[in-house]
Amino acid sequence: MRHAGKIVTRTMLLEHVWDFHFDPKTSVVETHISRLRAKLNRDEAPELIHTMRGAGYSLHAPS
Amino acid sequence: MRLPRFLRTTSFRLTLLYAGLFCASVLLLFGAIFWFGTGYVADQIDRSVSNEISEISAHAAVEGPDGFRQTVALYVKDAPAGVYYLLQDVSGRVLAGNIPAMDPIMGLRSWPRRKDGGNFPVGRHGVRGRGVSTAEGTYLFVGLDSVELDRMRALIAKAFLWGLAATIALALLGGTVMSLGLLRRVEAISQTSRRIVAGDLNRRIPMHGTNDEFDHLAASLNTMLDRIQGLMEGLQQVSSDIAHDLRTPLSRLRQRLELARRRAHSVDELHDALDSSILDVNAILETFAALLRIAQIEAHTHAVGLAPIDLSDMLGGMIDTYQSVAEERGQKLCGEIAPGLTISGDRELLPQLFSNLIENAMRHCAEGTTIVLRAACAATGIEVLVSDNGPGIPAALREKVFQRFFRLEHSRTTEGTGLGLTLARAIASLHGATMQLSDNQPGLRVQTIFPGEK
Repeated sequence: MRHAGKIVTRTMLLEHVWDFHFDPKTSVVETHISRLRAKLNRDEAPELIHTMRGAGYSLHAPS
Repeated sequence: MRLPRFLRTTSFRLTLLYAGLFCASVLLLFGAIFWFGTGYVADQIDRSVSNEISEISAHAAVEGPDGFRQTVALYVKDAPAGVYYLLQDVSGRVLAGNIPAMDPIMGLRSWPRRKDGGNFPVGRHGVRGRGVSTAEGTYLFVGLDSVELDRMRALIAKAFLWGLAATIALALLGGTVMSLGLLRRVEAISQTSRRIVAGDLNRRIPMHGTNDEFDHLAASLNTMLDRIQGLMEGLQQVSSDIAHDLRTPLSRLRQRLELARRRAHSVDELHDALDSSILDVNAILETFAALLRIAQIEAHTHAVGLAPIDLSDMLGGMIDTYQSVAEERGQKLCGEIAPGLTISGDRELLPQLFSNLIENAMRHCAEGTTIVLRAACAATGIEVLVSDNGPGIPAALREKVFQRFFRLEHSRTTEGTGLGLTLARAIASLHGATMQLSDNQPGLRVQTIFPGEK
């Protein structure tokens, strides 16, 4: 929630969530984001995690 | 004028200094011997003189008046060579004796040896004696040749000269031999360094096997040279790797761009070409980053900034992270991690090691494979196994896959830099760990053994 509304890059997620200071070759971030999304959308709630193409992800209520 | 080389060495200068000090101590030693030795002999002479005087006095007392003159005359008659008696009255007239009159001085008297003759002392020796006044008011002197004293002095002086000569000769000889010996070994070192400067990088300083300071110095210098050579080879390796293996992707990129410039008819086509070019550039940058990282890690063969790390915890986290990724790919990842494993390690590099191994297994294995991550305490240290039941690697190539850019034919189709295992092994050796590949029957097993936490 600290970064609500701001773009969080893939590198930032890797460093802060997994403590990975390198770039994994597999879709670590993508897989976990999609799982998180699936959990958040379980009751057909509005989309909270938005993919910013080429930049990263952003958490905010749909506009 | 230039002195011969061994005369200019530090050790020879030290030898000279020590020779000087030795001479000074020999001088002091002989000085003391001279002082005490001659003192002892002089004391003996003085004692004999005193005895003689008491004998004469006792004898004279028995003889009665004029006893001293008679007694002295008697003693003079029987006197052996080198014993002198004199009895003279107040006016200085000789009453009895075998030497001429002298000033009536009381107490101990001595004359040095005379070379020019003269009437007293007679002969070639000095004289020590004592003068007393008798009960009759006359002056009595008894003296003895100090021949023993002179002999003693001559003997000590001779011994001193021989001793000094021997000391100087031994010090100079020893110093020369020592400095020549030291010089030879220093020369070996400087000769080796000149050879190395001249380009013979494989040259090393010869060891004598005596395990002395020079061998220690040679060993340290050789280790340093090995290290420098290793670093230089690493640097050359990186440069040639970059030259060889980045050329292909770069020329491919150039072709793509040229093609797009010639053939693209619409903005969309150009965009597509640009997008794929960006992907190409990203891959090249990634390779660059990996190469630099390997070079950096290999440059620190010694554990810099290693701290105790809960390995069980870290591997558990890796499984949590990659389990869902594996599921997504239709593979299975399971773990058998013994609790409480601790190693000393680098918090940033270790996850990359395990991530590289797990991702390698995932990317090179087909759907349906199972990847197992095991960690346990073994006899040789802490063992971490990453195994899969995929295609595996032929035994002949198992060492080759650790080389930079080496890729198995069937992995050419998958993306990757060909640096993953190189990096993993570099991180392992930074931790003092060994990494080996073996057959999992079927599949591949990667064994990493960390030294146990001390």
